Amino acid sequence: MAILAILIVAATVGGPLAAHLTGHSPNTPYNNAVSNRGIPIGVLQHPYNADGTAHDPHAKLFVLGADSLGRDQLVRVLYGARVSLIVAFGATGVALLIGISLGLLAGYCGGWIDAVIARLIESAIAFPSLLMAIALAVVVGPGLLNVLVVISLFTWFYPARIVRSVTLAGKDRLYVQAARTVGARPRRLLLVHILPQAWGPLLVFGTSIVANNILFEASLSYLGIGVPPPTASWGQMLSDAINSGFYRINPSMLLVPGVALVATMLAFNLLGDSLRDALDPKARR
Amino acid sequence: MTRFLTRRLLALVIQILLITFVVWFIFFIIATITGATPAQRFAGRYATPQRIAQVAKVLGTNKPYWEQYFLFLWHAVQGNLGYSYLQQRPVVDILLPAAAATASVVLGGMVGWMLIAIVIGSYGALRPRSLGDVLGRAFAIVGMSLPLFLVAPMLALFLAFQPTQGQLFGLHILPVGTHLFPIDGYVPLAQNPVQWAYHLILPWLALSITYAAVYARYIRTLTIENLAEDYVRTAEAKGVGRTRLLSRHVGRNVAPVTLTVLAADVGGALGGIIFVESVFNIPGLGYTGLSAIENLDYPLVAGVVLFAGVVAVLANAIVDLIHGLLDPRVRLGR
Amino acid sequence: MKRLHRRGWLAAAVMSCLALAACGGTSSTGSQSSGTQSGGSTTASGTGSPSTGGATAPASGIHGQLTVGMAPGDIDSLDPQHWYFASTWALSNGLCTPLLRFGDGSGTGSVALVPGLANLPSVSDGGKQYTFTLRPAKFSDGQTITGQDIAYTAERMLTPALDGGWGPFYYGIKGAQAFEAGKAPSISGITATANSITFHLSAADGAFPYDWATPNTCPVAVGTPKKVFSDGSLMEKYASGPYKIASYTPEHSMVWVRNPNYDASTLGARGHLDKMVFNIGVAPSQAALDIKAGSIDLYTGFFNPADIAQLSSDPTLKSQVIISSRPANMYLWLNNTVPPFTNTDVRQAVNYAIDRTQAAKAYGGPAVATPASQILTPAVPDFHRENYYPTTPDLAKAKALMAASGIKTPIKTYMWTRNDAGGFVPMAEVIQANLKAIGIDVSIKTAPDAVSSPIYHSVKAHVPMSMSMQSPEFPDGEGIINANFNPKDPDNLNDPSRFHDVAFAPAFEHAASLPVGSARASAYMALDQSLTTKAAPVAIIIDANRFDFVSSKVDGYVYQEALDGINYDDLGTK
Repeated sequence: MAILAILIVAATVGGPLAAHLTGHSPNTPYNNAVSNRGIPIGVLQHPYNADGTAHDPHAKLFVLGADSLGRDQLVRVLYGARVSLIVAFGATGVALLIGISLGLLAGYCGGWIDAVIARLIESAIAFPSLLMAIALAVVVGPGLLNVLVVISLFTWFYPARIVRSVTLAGKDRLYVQAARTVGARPRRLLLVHILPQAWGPLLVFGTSIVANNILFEASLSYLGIGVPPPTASWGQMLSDAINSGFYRINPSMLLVPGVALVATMLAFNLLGDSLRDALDPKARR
Repeated sequence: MTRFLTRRLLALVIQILLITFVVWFIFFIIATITGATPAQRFAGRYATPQRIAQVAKVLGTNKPYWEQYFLFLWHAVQGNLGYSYLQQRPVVDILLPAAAATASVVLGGMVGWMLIAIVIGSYGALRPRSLGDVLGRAFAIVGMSLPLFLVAPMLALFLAFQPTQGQLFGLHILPVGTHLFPIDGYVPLAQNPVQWAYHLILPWLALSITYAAVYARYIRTLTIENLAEDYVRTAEAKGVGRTRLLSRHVGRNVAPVTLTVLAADVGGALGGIIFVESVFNIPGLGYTGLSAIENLDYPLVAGVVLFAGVVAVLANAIVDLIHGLLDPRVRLGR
Repeated sequence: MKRLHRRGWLAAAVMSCLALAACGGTSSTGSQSSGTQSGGSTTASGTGSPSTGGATAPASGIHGQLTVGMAPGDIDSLDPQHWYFASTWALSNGLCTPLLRFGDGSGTGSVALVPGLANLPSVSDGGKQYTFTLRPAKFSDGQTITGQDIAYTAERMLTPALDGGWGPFYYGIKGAQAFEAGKAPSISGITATANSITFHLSAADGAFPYDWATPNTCPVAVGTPKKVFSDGSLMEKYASGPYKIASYTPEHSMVWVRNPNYDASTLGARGHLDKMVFNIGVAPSQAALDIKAGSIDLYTGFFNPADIAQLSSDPTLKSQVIISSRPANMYLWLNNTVPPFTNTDVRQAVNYAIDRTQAAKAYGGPAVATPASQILTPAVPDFHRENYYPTTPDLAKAKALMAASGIKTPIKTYMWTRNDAGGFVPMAEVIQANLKAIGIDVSIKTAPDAVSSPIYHSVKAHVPMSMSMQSPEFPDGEGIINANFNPKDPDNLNDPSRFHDVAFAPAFEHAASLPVGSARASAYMALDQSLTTKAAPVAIIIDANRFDFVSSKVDGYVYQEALDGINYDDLGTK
């Protein structure tokens, strides 16, 4: 929880604060932070002087080094947190919305509607999702909203499956039938009586899917089809380090966004774990 | 049993139809939104409209989309996935070696991660809260949080690049120019089994680290649950040894459930593991699919996706079947 | 004008840097030439500089073997009427002898035309008739190469089923268009005998000899089926260069051996090795390590920026690092029909505001990019470098121009570029930051080349800015300036700038009408200067360079500018 709180603080005020303290704006390439041969400066190094022959101790320090264009990695990794969280929470929200609606519809109506939705869920699971997301992302182009939608299109089926099975099991329960006999309308029946039973699994699912979506966004940005440049994102920072090969000279270029990503994933996974333990002592998986 | 099989088969066909349909639909959107059509791509961007029309005719992309889709299906049924626009070779000829490369990575990696997972998972289950268990669980939660596209380049950095500069994990203890592990691609098994394995060690390791975590946790939880069941106490009372107890009694109950999850993961991974393939330069399905997408090489994209989809669906179907055979509680007749 | 080299991206088989077919629309042939070319029967000279014929042979005789690493997807096709990638075209130096060739050796010699299968042609009928006399030569299977084989090769090149897209280049030959459309059984403007071939053109064309030096004219024998051979068998049977293909496994390996029927006494002493082995699929990230370890001797792909930075700063490797100029420029297209770029002051302001030095760094540093603002590339004859705009920004001037334009800032606009090749997006980000300083707020849109280039080349899309790498099919000003910026044809798909200032038209027509030679070269240099400084339809950002790192075994390494590839003819071992 503590890590999560730090993360949220980092995402909201960390970027601007770091930009203020270091005097480096997130999207400005600093020519003097890259050597004449094109190698970016490393952790805790000062930029080069005007003719690029030596480090200039009077220039503002690059605490976590620079990327291949000479942008401050500390500032960018903090701004990147913002993108990661917006996309991850947004996409999870959209996926839950689609998933819950379809799941309720399938479970409650049954019959051919259920059959169609069930097939849809199964097919969606069998989909090579990253590949298809790439194809789709290539079409719609990079963009925060586009990434969000693409990701939710490939994650809606997990909540749909959970809600469907809960609804299927729930609608035959005695108290639900009792509610029906006293005249509860389907909407009320679903939202008040059946859906609450799914909250537990959905919450657990939600945290793990947020973690997954952070990864998904990073993957798309890594492949150059995530958020548009010059917006900082962890995936883009990783791809910059790896594709240029500079991570072999400055491993910090890999480690800075890498550690941020892993710490965030860890936080969400731990949160998911504790939620699971709290909500369902006999939780499987 | 027959009814179960027919139902499963029918579902499979429907799923594959759906998957291929979505792929073609995406092509359709690409062409409508961007105006980037294969004919334009291959006629060259400076071509006259007449020439684009000519190329469209050669490629067959001048036909309506639904007609192209049905032609694709009809040919696919006959085992013909068409020609790659870019490589001018039958798609099947491109897919098969790529699938073999991906399968080598995934199946080898699977053996690795399952071995690690079984050891860590069952140790943790037998001695919960021991030091080993705590370490194992820490490994699991960290491993789950490590993305493949971070693990793969880190392995490449520490075990392939740095040794050539005489470094091992930052320490200058090796002679400069040491080649510890290669990252220069893939050697087919049939060509040289030793080189095949040598080239795949790092990819296998990358997969093992990321996947073993999930399975170790999974096996641990399932085993602990089963150890608390009555049948285990009975067996223990009868004097069955620990090893035998784990392998024969508990294992039989843990295996089918684990297998279901495994099938989904492996089925998915067989469709291409883009990051591992790209970092280690393995010409697998993910790599092929990615470059096909970028080139609007529709027949090849459709081929890769179809292949990946069929494998994933089949893997799940097979597991359902095994599940049915192993566990009489699953009602096959329904 | 778009034959581009692949750049490694994701260390993967990204084959998309290249469009497959040739320039259509206003191609470099024919139409603009006004017939002022000297009539009568003169021999078309090379390019003004003395042509050097064969290479200076390294060491002596023929011996040794080299292993070449190729990046995944570097070979698009081994059918000469279908191949197009720069990396594949370069192979033609070893495998083919077209009618004319670009000279071996480095520098200006490598862009000059020299005799190939034929001597330099004789020109008659006021520049409308070209006659090539063949020198005795054989295909690798022992058949004699005849004029009829060349005529058949021309037909094969124009066959739609082969999808080569060469038509527009050869429409100047009478009857070529009718043949391509299937309206004639043969090309009426070609007459061939056993040892000669004559082309009848509909208009005089000073640059016509270039059309018979490009690798798409690599000859095949009469009767070769008019379908694509992707298995390399054509270059086993019909090789006409010093080497032939012995075996080829797509995306895996290729082996070249000596062509036993290559006669060095008539065609020149090309090729100095017994054997060449190509390992296909060597990733950029691995190439430098492999060369150091000796498992490959040279690499056709593009080295990683990190490797380039390290290798070029290591003094012990100095003799193994070669940096050559490439005939390729990075263009920032400014759409002259979309505000604010309808205003010349704004276009000039953009040119002044761009930090070309920083952009060159973003592309990979001095080893692969030189800041530049000329439209002509160093490969054209008599080129000399001029900085029409400063290499670092002149913000005062840029801001003054913006103020003079009367356009209210900040302006919001966007730019398209590709994201499937290294260097493009980083460079776009530098330009984005530069233009922000003069109040132009650019958002960057990216997609793989296959998707992005149809968008920004389309007339209807009205894309304000786009960035692409351009390189000519052959090194001549007409193919670069007229083909791209013809002011009388603003809707020409070649030209995302939609340049339409017809005041420039006479200068365009005059330069194209001159015969190949120094007058033509200086006319193009002058045109480049006035176009770039006065109209500024684009902002040229960098000249691309080629960085190579070879093993200590390699001798005679030359990067051939004309074909934008390694010259396999010159390679030998120490």
